[in-house]
Formats: sequence, structure tokens, C-alpha cells
Amino acid sequence: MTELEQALVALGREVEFPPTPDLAGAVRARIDRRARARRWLVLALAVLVVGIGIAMAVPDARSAILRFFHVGSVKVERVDTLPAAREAPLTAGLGTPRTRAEAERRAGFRMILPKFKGAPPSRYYALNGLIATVIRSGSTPLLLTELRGDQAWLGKKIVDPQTKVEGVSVGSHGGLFLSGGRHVLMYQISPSDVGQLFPRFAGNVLLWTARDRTFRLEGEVSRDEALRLGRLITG
Amino acid sequence: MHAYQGIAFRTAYLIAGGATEAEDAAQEGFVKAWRALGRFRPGAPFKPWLLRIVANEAHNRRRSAGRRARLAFRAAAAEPSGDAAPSPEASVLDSERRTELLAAVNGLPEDQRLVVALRYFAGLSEDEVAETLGIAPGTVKSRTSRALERLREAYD
Repeated sequence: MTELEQALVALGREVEFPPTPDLAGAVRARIDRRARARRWLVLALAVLVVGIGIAMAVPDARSAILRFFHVGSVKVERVDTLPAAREAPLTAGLGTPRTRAEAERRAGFRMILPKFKGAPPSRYYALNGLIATVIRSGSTPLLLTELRGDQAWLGKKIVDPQTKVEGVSVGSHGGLFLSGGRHVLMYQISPSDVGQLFPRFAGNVLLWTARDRTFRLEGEVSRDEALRLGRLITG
Repeated sequence: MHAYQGIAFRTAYLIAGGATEAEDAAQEGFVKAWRALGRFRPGAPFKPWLLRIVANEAHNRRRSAGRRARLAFRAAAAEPSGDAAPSPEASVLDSERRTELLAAVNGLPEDQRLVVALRYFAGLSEDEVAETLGIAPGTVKSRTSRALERLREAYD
């Protein structure tokens, strides 16, 4: 670097920039606002579809309607072609396993867990605003993830046209159940590096929101069993 | 997101020319990036991809506002305390020369000024500047070279 370039770098440290505003809240509000607007659009489209006759093109209409969903901190997007992804263990990309106390410290909140007949899980995974552990339904492992509500974009699921997306009720809470087809999960690998998205194929997934959090239960699980577990967790 | 909001805002400010426009552009850039995440190529560098989106938003706002950022010194930097020991950076330039140099940067043609500001003030690499502005790395080099030539007159 020449002396002039060094001088420019030094100059840059003395140049006035307005203080950086905290953008996260505003970005989340914009995303939520558009999601709400989209939901109204979805409703309007649904009414329109009914009005012009269900027999006309229900599959196409459904496809159009199910283009986007937001469930708390997770966005579900239906696409024709999935991004590159690979099969990987449920906990792939979540970092090293920790004790529950360590994970909760790192995530910044306490995890809500169902009551276990036997010993509770011993391994937990955490990012800032996210905590996860593997629970079991019989012998089937399921990844339970909780995301703090103020995380604007921690997770994203991309689903192919064959994936079934159903609206469900987990107790008194609303959610979605994704099954069949192929779907890809992407999330921040660490809060300081949004760029390192880790794409992997995911199993059936129940997503729901309760108590200012987004819950995600993933694995080879039926809809009814996922809903039962969901009710055990958040009531 | 927190990791990138500073550089996103500064980039938007350098392009849009005002704090309000920069904040709006950065917010909209993040929203659009979120919506476009499915098109992001895993493994590719995220920062320039995000900054390109923010820069496009900032360009739109600058066009509508018709202005450019006129860079100035921070108050503390403009009037350094006589008691304080100069930092290594500050010692590179005395007060008069840095004032002239900043004026020269402000006087550069817009395409050169942006490249210089992003490269040296915002700390982006040449490749990142190219991606952010949507131009070829060779163009970044040539614009930088022309800009440095002009600035050298003010500096020497």
C-alpha cells in the first residue's frame, strides 16, 4: 500500500459517518408487515378461487397460495427447484454439543422442554437466539429447536412442489406441518456470520409459535405425533 | 444481521448521501436479501452479495433525492486535543493535508469517489467493491488508479 493509500485509510477513520441505527427491529417489522399483507392477499386469492369455482384449478390455486409462509422466525418458501443441499444429521451445522446450562447461556434464554419419562437429553446446541436438542418419540430421534422471537431471519425452509404444507393447531397455537417431498433447511451457522448458511434436506417438520418463540420439531414423525409432542411442550 | 448492519449502513450512506436514505436503503436491502436467500449460492461470500442489494437500494434513493454524501471530519477529529498523543494513523497526516485530501476526495467524479470511499473508508477489498457496485474488478482498478492520480496532486 502506498503512502497515499495509507493516508486515505487513516483519513477514513476520521471521517464522520452518522451513527449506525439498529436495523434489526425495523427489518423484522418490515418483514412481518409484508407477511401480514401477504396473508391478506392469500385470503383474497382464496376467496377469489372459491368464487370462480373450486373445480376450475384447485391445484394451481393452491400452489400459488402456498408460495410463502412466515411462522415466527422461520420463512417457508415454495420453489420449483431446490437449492443445492445434502443429507446430514439433524444436528449438523449447530456446532458442538453443550450442557443445557451452557447452551441456554449462549442462546440467551431458557429452553422449554416436555416432561420426560426417563432422563432428559444431555446434549444441547446453541447459537445466539437459537437452542436445540434431540428428543425421542419411541426410538425415533427428533430435533426440537426453539428460536427467540426477536430474531428476524434465523431460519428458512425451502420446499419443492411435492411437499405438503398444512396449517395446524398446536393446542391454542397456530403452526404449519410440512411433510413429503423434499425440503431444505437453511439457517445462520453463527450470529456473526450470516453468510455461512448450511443447507440440508430436512424430514417432516412441525413449526409453531408460542410465548414469543418459534418452535420447530423435525424428524420422521407423523403429523399427529408431532402435534401431540407440540402440545406437551407449549400446551 | 448485527454483524453486517454497520457496513451495510455505511455503504448505503456513501451512495445515497443522507442518513435517512441510507437507513431506509439498508433496511430494504436486508428485507430483500432475506427474501432472496433461496437464490444465494451456499459457500459464496455473503457480504458482497448483501452489499450489492443494499447498494442498489441506495442508488435508487440517491437518484430520487439527487444528492451525494459530502464527507466531513468527525468533530473530535477536526479539533484534536492538544494534550492527546497522536494515534499512529493521525500521525500519517497533519491537519492541513488531511483537510485538503478530504476535499479532494469530495471533489472526485462520483464513480471514482465511490470506489475510493468504499475501498479505503469502508474497508472493502477490490473484489468486494466490484461486486457491491456491480462492475468488473478491472474497472475498480482503473477507477482507483485514476482517482489516486488526482488525489496525489492534493496530497503531494
